[in-house]
Amino acid sequence: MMELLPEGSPIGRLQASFQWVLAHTSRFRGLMTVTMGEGEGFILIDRGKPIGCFFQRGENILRGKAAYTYFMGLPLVDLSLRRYNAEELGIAIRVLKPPEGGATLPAREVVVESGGKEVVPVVLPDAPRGSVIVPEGAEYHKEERRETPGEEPKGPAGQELPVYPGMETEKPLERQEEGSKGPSGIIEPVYPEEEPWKPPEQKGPEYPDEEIQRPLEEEEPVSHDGEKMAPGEGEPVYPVLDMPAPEESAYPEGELPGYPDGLDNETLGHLLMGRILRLPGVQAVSIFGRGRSLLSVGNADIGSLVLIAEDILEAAKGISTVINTGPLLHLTLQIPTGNLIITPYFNEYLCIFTGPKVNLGQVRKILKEIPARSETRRNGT
Amino acid sequence: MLKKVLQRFFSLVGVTTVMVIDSEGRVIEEVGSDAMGSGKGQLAAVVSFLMAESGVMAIHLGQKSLSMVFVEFYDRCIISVPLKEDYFLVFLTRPDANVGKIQYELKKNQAQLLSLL
Repeated sequence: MMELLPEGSPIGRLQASFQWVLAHTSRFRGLMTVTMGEGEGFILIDRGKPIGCFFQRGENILRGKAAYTYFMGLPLVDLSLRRYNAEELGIAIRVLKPPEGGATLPAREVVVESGGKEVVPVVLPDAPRGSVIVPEGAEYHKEERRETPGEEPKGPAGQELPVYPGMETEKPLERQEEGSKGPSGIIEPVYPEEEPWKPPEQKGPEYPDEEIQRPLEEEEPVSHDGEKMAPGEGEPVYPVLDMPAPEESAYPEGELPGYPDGLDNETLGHLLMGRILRLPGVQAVSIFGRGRSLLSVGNADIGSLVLIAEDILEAAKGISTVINTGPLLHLTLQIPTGNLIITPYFNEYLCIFTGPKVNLGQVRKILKEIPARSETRRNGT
Repeated sequence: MLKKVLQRFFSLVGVTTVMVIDSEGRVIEEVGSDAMGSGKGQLAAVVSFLMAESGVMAIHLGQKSLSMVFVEFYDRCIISVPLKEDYFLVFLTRPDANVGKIQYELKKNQAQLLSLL
């Protein structure tokens, strides 16, 4: 299959996961090839969107969604990228495209180890992006693919191929319905369902029942010497201090108090995240840095967005190199279903995911109280 | 004509520059008082990159499109709004600019703006 595709312009090689590369090639048009031991495969990409997938190891072949799911499950692989121009992309699509009629396929029929037949899947140029379409009759050949139902595909040496969640080698490929596609037509990878996060049960200290049930007895006050005192006698007398009114801030404008003893960054982070999460419309809060999520609470898993969020931050910081902007205070992405707010938090970043009806003013008010941000504002660093 | 529409945005309090850029980082039209010189092209390139990355994030959040990207710095704010495929409207503002007013004017003029691209 691969030798039939146009050479294109080699861009280079890299070691990364397919997921990462796909997330960072929104304008790329070409072929992403992978070689793993005796296996090799490719994803044909048009402006960042996969339009055809193929993987072959020995006589075992994965195509379309199965190949895509397999690729997405690989952690790190050696990839090489070849850029295609429009003409080369057209040739690549024609290589994958069946002749008119679709039923009489000249494409080679691959005999797999079990003796069945399998038809090369195709990608039509006028199909929606991300659609992997199987020509007529493919289901028929697919039925013949295995002698024993339920038998897993074997490698050339008889070893079992890795099976990832969502990998569907035994089912025939089907035309993807609109609903099963991602928002931009990308075939959605299938992830295992995770149980929603539940806070751990917290138990207080245990007391013997007698201690709890015993009513507090009023004891008569005694002096240091053990003698009984009259009520009110011996109580300390505090001087009356000239305190500011409660509604006035006890601190000069722009300054915030230091932390109480024993309050570290992590505890402060939990407190802050809890406070933000209680605001109406806030769905999840996370603290991330250096490519990983450090703390995360809420209904949505935004920890998986860390790498992209860091790329966005890098791009935002790039603005500072062009014009004099001062330090970054926050970045807000508005999407139709909500907002994603990213703001510096000490040496890390705070990420807040909200619904569309959140009061952004309330969120920003809390963010302005973060001491690290206040320091930044004051110092302009 | 496009310049006239941009002038309307530029007249809003706190707005220092308004420009229409494309996804390749080219400045299509701009009105502004910021003396950036060649920095204008660089800014357009960086903002287009920011919008591309933000678009990827939107897709990961299950959305086809972005509504707006708002970046607040200590001395400036940048608001970038996708117009139609491959075009963005970018505002450079002072921190005291009224973002709500900008969004309101944008909503009012968006149809005309799109017809000119």
